Amino acid sequence: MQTDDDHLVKQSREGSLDAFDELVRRYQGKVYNMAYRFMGNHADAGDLAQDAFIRAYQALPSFRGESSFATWLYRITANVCRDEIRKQIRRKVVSLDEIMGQPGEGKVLAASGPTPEEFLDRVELRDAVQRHLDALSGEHRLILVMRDIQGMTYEEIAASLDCTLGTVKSRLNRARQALKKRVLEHRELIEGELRLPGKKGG
Amino acid sequence: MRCREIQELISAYFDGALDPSVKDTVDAHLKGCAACRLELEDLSVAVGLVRNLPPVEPPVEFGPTLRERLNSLNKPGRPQGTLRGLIAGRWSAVAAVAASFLLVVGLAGVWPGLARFGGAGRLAGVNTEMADRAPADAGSFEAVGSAPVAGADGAQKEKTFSINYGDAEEKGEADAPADKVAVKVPVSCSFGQGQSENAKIAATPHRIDFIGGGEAARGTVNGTPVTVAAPSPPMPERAILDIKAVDPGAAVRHISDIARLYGGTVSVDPETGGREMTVTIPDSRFEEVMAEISKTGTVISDERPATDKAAEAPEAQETSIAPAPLPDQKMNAAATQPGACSQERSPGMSVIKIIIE
Repeated sequence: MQTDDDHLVKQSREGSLDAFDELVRRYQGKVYNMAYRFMGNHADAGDLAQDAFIRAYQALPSFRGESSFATWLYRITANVCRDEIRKQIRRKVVSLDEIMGQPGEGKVLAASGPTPEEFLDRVELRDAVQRHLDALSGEHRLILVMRDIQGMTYEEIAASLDCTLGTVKSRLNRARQALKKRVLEHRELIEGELRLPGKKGG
Repeated sequence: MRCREIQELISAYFDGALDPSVKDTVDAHLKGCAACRLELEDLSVAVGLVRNLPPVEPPVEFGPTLRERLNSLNKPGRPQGTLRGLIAGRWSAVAAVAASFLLVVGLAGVWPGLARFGGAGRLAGVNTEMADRAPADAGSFEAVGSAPVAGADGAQKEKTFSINYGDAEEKGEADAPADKVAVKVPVSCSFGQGQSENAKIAATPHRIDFIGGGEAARGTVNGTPVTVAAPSPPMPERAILDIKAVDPGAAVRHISDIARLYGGTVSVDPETGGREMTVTIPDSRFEEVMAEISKTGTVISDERPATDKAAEAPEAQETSIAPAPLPDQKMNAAATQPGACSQERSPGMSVIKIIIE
């Protein structure tokens, strides 16, 4: 895949939209996934993911191949996320049920093709975890997405965020602690859906 | 090493990112410390939840839409166009007068059990913060509203939902006439439920063409036609009720029930934490509804603003309390001048504002 990418990158730099199209097809899943987990809804994820690809396209002339195209692309995606933090654009979906004190119900959810029951089951858990992510600060959420969603290495994260490895370690620790705290505080959202291990059990 | 220091390292330990000697120290500590072992376990559960999230697929139109945008860039290194500036001004005007709307969605395609969804509603609140931003960023706001929905069994249910208008995207020729630029606006619609047991409804957000000048926006959501009328000016209130309630939450719910019962709609202003609501009901039921609402608490004040505005010509703003119209019915909302704030009333509807103490 690496060498295929090289070929496509070369052609893209020469102006072939078809070649870039193919690169998009290969990586849109990962990029969109990062964007979605960071932004928490499809509309914003779509915007962000598109912006990432467009930035990549425009930055092709300066891509020197020091890392793989994929790594470079994920780094750009992370940068777009960072910019979002700065812009502080977080479109929160507010439902009247939430306002009136009932469990929040109006949310943008991925429409897939399961039965209604399956849909609800999967959605409940997925929704709960995503909500935990949504509740974190942008910085914390971003580094969690980079590490635990996208699987970037500490080095890649450091390069992307332009900070030291030490900073990555401590920021990731704080982010995970924040997440852990929320998960524990809201266990009832998860407990029904998950067999928690060992002493937590049930 | 003490627990406190261990816990700073626990995340890196979990990832195997510690230097060997430091890792050994943590290992040794964990052997003898149940509390830290518990911390590690909790951490791994939390991280596991995130890592086990299923991958989210982009919608089918992601690639084609991106390709379109790239086409307009033409070749690598070229900066994006600036059509945004052209539409930013109009968008602010639209946001500024946003108060009520029409939403008609045929959901049969998305959710087979549910027949149709549609109806008139009123926006509870519009976050226009985005509309005041710099031109490059202008064009986003969110709105919250509710509308009556005809379920599969034909019964009317109150559905809450929100609409997010994303950044307006450039499309079309730069020299197109200013009032006719077709702008693609990412819109996400989510539908919550009132108190019914129906399954959650989800709509994948989709690009919807917004045609400037107060006309309707139309597009598709998962292949189902969607129409969103541009926001129109707020309707004047026929009465403003100030009520003291023992249980405000219950009062809000009760008032919502009343509104529904009398064939109306209700919306709650999120900015006020749910203490201010607007009930829109047919003119003919106004006095009955007022009487019912007054029973929900102690009436502190009951204002009737003077309505010396001549009855406007009935606009094509349909308030469908009856089962929703056809999904792709063209909604020609009154072509309001962006920025104008004429107080037009929807034919036959009265608006009551309620403040709950």
